[in-house]
Amino acid sequence: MSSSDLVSFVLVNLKRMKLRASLTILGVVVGTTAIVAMVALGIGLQESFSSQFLSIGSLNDLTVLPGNPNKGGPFSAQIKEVRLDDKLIREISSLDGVKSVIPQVDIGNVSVKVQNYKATSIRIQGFSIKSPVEISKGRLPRRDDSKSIIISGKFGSSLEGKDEVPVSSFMNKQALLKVSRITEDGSEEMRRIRVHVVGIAKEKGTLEDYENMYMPVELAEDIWLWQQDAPNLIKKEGYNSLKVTVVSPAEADSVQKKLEGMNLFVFSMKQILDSLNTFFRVIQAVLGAIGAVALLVASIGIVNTMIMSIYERTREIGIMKATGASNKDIIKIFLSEASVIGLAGGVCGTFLGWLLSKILSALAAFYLSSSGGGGESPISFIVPVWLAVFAIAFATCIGLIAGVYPALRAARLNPLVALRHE
Amino acid sequence: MNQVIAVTDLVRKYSLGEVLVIALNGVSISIERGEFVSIMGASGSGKSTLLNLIGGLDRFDSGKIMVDGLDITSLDENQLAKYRREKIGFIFQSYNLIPTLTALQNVELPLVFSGTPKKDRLLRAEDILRTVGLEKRMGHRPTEMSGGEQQRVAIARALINKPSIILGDEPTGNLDSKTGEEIMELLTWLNKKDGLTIIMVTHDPEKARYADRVIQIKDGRIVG
Repeated sequence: MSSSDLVSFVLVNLKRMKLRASLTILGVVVGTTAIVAMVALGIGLQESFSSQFLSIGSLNDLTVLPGNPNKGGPFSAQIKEVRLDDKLIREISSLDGVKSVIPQVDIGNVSVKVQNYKATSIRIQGFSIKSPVEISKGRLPRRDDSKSIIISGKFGSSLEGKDEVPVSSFMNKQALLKVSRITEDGSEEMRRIRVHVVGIAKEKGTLEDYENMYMPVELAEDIWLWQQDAPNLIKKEGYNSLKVTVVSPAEADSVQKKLEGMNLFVFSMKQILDSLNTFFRVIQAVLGAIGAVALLVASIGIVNTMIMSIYERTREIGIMKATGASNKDIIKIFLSEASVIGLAGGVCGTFLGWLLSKILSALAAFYLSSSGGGGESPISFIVPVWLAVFAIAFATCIGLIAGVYPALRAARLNPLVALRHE
Repeated sequence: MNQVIAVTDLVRKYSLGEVLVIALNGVSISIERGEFVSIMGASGSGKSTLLNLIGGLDRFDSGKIMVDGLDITSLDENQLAKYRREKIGFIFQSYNLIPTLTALQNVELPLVFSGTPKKDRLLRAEDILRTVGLEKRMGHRPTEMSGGEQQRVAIARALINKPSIILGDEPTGNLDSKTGEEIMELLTWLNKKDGLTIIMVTHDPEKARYADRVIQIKDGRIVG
């Protein structure tokens, strides 16, 4: 029996039981719609979490702390920690896939005044000339020039008391840094440092673009040591942490392994995102499984419809057998019918699920904007192509599996008994 | 002599509830190629059982059936399907056409199962429908045709795979006598023209007379 004969056979038979087939297909439609909409919600949640997550930091960055996670972690005092010193920085810089290594100094209580604009809480990051920040405008500080700084790409967009000013207006301007520290007797000391804005950093699309100031690491260290009131801190204990930037996110895992091999504790956005993704895959699977229950119920409907149809067509099966149909032919006919029910339901259900996803996304966005939420809707339904293909294939498979028992039953009919069936 | 069917010591028993019925009790017959044979007997005599066993529709308990040199005793279900498809053409009392298919589609059905290409199938089915005088009915469904026409379609279906034997189980049983005679004449004509071997079960002596030979069966035994 050829495939085209099979198809025309199946269509004739489904047409004959139009109402019953439609109702059975409807069951599959409901199940498939549920699966598609549920998984689309899961994917939408993952996407919106990921994009929010990625705005915090770049996947290229690893934060290195002394101490090995397998040996007690960064907060364990028993293990002798690897000191984060210049020698280590050079060592890490020479690793494959590493773009730059910047020692991190945590400088608080810094305010800045550029022209007429003041900002009271800015972040300072040091960089070495060997692994500088990428700039979009201006130039890098010269080797011997420790009073030149780079500002981040969106610097000034959050300066207090003023409307947004274009970042370029700060170029080549004097900036006054005010750093404070609390002395042992409890009084506040103030230090003023005059710096010169010589460049603007390339935007990274992360929080670093705002109110960040990059300065030669010597200057940053100087400020930090003054603030800590311990001039030999770095020599004695090393840096608190290093920021290692890799060439591409693909390198992050291998570099992280190497660093951990050096007895360092490494914190990476990539790793967190990976585990977040795993978590969301589980969520999607659970949501999909809820939808699959509806499809499972529908599959019982398929079995029921097929058994009824076989009962009604018993005599026909007898005729087909008498005229030379093999058991395989009979199985093929009924399996195909059940599969087509699954396929039809899968296609309609996937389309409906997609439509429902669009409507619900729009409703969520409308509700959030009308309730003053603003911004991007955190609830979106996303139906990727793989989900549509999967849903249709899954529904078809369910139909096929549901058809197995009825088809075997039909094939096993004794032709003589079947022919006598009224 | 060209023997096409040799049945030897055929026994078929089945249980009806508690009662064991012996439908065939050691039947032996031999049929030549091109013969038109009637099997006569009262109802329950075992005549239909014999026909069904020759047609490979049912299993028997002991004995042997050789058709065209092929021992069908040892065939499995798939081989039996192939045997029915290639060697046998059935004609039933109640026509047994598939109601959703047109006359043409019903006739080509056996060729669908044998995997014959659609073009060849159509040519042959149209040809045979013309032979049985139904060239104007090809696109009609069984419900749109008279009993005689339906039986002609069934005959065309039985002929399409060029079988070795045509098996008719009371082919005129549902027809009025005039139409019944037309069907008998068609069968006789096919038998004479193409040398078709026909075995027909009937309880009507009028119809049995069309055959070259009449086999009488009673209580599962050949009695003449």
